[in-house]
Amino acid sequence: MGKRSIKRLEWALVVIALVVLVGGQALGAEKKFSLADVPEIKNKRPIHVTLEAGGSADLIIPYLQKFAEHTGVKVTSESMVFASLYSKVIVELIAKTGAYDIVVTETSWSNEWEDYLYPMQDLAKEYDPEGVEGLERYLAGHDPGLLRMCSTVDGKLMGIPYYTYTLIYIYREDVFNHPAEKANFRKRYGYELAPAQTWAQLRDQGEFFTRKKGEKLKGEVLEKDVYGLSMMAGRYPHVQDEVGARVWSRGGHWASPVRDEAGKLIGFKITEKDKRILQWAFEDYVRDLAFAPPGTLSGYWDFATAQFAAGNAIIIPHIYDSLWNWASSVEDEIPGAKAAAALTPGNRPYTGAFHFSPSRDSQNPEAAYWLLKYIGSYQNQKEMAEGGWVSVRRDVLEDPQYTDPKWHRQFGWARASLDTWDEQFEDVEDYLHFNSAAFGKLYEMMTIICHENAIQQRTPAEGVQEWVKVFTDLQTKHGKLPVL
Amino acid sequence: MRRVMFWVAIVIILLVFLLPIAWVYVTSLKSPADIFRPEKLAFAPTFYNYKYIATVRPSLMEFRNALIVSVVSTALVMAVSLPAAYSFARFNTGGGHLLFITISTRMFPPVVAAVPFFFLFRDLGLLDTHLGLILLYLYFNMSFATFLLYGFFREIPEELEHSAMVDGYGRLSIFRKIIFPLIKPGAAITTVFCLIFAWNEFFFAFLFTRRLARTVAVGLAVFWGSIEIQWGPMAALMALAILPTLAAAWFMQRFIIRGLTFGAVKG
Amino acid sequence: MREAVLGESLETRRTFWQILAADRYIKWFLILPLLVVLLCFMFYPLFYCLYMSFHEYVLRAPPLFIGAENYRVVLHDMVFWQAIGRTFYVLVVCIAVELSLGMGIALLLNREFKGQNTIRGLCLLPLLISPLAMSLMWNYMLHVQFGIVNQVLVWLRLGAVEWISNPKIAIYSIMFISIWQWTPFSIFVLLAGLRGLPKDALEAARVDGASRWFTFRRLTLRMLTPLIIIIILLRTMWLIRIFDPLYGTTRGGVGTESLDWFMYRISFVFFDVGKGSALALFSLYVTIVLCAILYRQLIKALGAAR
Repeated sequence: MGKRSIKRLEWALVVIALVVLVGGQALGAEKKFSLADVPEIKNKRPIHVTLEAGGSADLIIPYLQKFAEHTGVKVTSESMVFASLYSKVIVELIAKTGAYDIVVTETSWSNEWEDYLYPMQDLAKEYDPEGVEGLERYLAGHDPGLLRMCSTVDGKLMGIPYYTYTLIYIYREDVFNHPAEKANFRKRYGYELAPAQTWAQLRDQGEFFTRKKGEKLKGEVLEKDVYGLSMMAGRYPHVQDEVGARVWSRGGHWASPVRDEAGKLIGFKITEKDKRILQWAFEDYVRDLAFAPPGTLSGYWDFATAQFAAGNAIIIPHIYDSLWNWASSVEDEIPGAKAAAALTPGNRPYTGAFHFSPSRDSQNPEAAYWLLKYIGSYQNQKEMAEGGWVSVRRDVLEDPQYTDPKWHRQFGWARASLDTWDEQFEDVEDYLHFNSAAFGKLYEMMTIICHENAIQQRTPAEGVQEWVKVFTDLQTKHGKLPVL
Repeated sequence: MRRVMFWVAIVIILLVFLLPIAWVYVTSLKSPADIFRPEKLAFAPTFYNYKYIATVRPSLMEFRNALIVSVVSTALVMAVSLPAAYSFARFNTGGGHLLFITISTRMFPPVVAAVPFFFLFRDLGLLDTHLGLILLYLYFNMSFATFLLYGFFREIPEELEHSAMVDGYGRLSIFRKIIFPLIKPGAAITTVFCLIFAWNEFFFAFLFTRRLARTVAVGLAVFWGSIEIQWGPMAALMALAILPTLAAAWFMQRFIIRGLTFGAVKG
Repeated sequence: MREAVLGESLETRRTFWQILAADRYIKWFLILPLLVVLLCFMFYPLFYCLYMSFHEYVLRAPPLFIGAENYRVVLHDMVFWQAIGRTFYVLVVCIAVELSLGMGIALLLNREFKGQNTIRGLCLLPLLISPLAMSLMWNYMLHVQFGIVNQVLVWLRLGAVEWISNPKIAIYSIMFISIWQWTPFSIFVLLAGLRGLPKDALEAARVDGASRWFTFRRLTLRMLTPLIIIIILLRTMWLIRIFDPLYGTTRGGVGTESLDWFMYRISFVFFDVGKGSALALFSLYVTIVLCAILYRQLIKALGAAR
């Protein structure tokens, strides 16, 4: 009897040890959540996902199907023209049609759409066997700054980012390294030619590289005009990102956050310092436009990148990292050309991400939750990155194959993006973009004001005045926090 | 000399009208690398873009939807507008005020009307349905069609009808035997225009449909993303989307030519 | 009912005047479907906007009555007046160009020539293509460096032009896009009209030795006046709502914001239903006044044509 029970005990111990071992491995693997870890989804209602338009967004479609095959939940998708995506999605959300289970959300809309979206934490509590802690473990591979951008003021995560566009500085390394150019630059400006770290340096470079047909570049006579800076001054949101990079780099804000003693955000105020910096940013931007190619005043990333790729411009001082593929194609276009990237001057550019968010009116939030988790998972982001996707996950990007510049033609310049995220992490909390519930609307007005500044319809001082006026108006009407 | 001048003028007109459309076709055959090289006229044509729109994000459904919506809405528009326009033209129904009210429905800014309509259609369950779009297009095109047809009906001299009446024709046979042959060119043109407008309408089609009833006009815009415009696939879809309207126009052209007989009758 | 009236008239073979009496019914009968559609659709948005225009309503909280505040804000908004001014400028230029081009080309195409049907058909093509997609295409084709238009100019040694990006030129490019697309509309309406003109009257005038110009002005133009006014009226209505050519090109930037783009912004980006409604009603009022003037001219012209 005794012997037997001891034997039993032995067995039990072995079994327990095995369970612990296997379980431990499972826990270890859990850090890299993958499709196989998606549990059985009880709710089999089909889900409908909005996507933005474009070839890179189309890359996601096969992965939606993979998810559908694995879980048995049918997934359909609907691509939308980006320029009208905001309008369409918000109408559906406000009208509570429940047509979209998962919507594409730009980071700066997180606060605005709070009432219409499910916080991820709530969903995790409800549907994830590992609960909120499991979700947090899963999110460890994401950048905390980006996650803050996808969250509301009070820390509710409104979705999981799947895609980033961080402004970086892309330049022609071959031109920068050319001995004659280096020498001439030093002679003229008194310091070494290197990726611009300040806006003054950027303007020097713009001036230096803007050359007429017949002048020389790299010792060779130019057959066409070449410009220093390729910019995006058209009436698209991007002009705002460019001006914003200047504002933030000087410690200014579009509107400063006002906090109570406990550090809780209670409102916004455009301080005198903000006004001063905004005005400087507007002025600086107009000055830089002198070195941008014709067409800039109605241009956006499309033509800005095309200018660089065609060899018409030497620097794109602030361009989305997701355009690395196209920008680096200048190496095919121009013999001897080499593209490289650095951080934008001042290191405080706009960093955005698209995140997928579950709609509150979804009939199947359970499947929505797991789909989000899958799309943002290491395994999936990695797989998509190999296909040309710009991953949003740190743990994917930190792989040397992405950070080493020698791989830039295959995988872009992840180092620049990562450094940018690190640099600006502590400031994200204070940016108006991620604190105002009126931001979708403010964005439009900022765009208009920055564009009208660029075409000199308003002076920089008038631009600041206009901004103060419309900010107060829109924030009061649409926002949740007051203007103080 | 006059002949030469005539043909020179025709060629210039055709060039201005057709080159932009030809360029859509040219672009649709370009590989992504050639899109930003306008100077390169001799490029290796590729069907990459057509393959793309056939496989990655197929648009067949959008064509089908656009076809259903535009044909049915146009048929309804003509059914409503032809008699109404005749009534306005021949009897001055409503003393001109009613016609003006009909026209004025198109003066209300659609971008503002869209919000109330969206909520109304949601409650009626008409969002993302063919019927919803058909009703909207009926409403939008009706005023235009009525008005244009009114003009064409007014061109038909009343005396023709009067003399036919004196000859003992009834209203119905007058309409069938005299008015209808004369209105055919005008009706054909109106039909074509209604078809085209319905086919190409973007704003309401975008807002009021999602996946099921989306038309090709909406599909055309879905190449414009936040960091990429797919010029090639967009041009390819444009090149295809124009074909059905072209077929309709060609078909109606036959009726337009019959307008020739019009002068003869009138004399 | 209609059959009954018609049948009766056929059977009894009433006199002309008696049949006309029956028209009292038939004319309303013919118009009935139109009235039904009108009633179903017209009043809802109209009253909705009338109600909302006196409220602050941004779709979040319930509408809040604020009196005529929305109107006050709108009427004091310089951007709004600039948009109106710009829209009218575009309207006048576009209609003038489209009509003269349309008339010229229609006259040209009204002749008998080899391949006439094909060529007439080809002239219709710009109308067939989606205006919205085409605006993106134009942005591409008119681009200063990568557009085919400037490439042709460079080949001809004329130099590149900043079609879309120069604030002084952009508005004309928008006009051009609209004119390119809509001239065929004028051409076709006028061509249909021309083909319907009584040939013998024109013939007679020519035999009488009237000059071409005289015939055109006194006969052709006069007989086409109703159609011309119809074109003006329709194009006025559409151009006041000019939107598509901006969508893919300037998006209201570079000094091209039109009235409709402004309203789109208020209604579909800001979702300011109250202000949007006030704008809509005001612009409806302006449009109606403008069109009523044109409409009166039309009625007059139709009377004269009789």
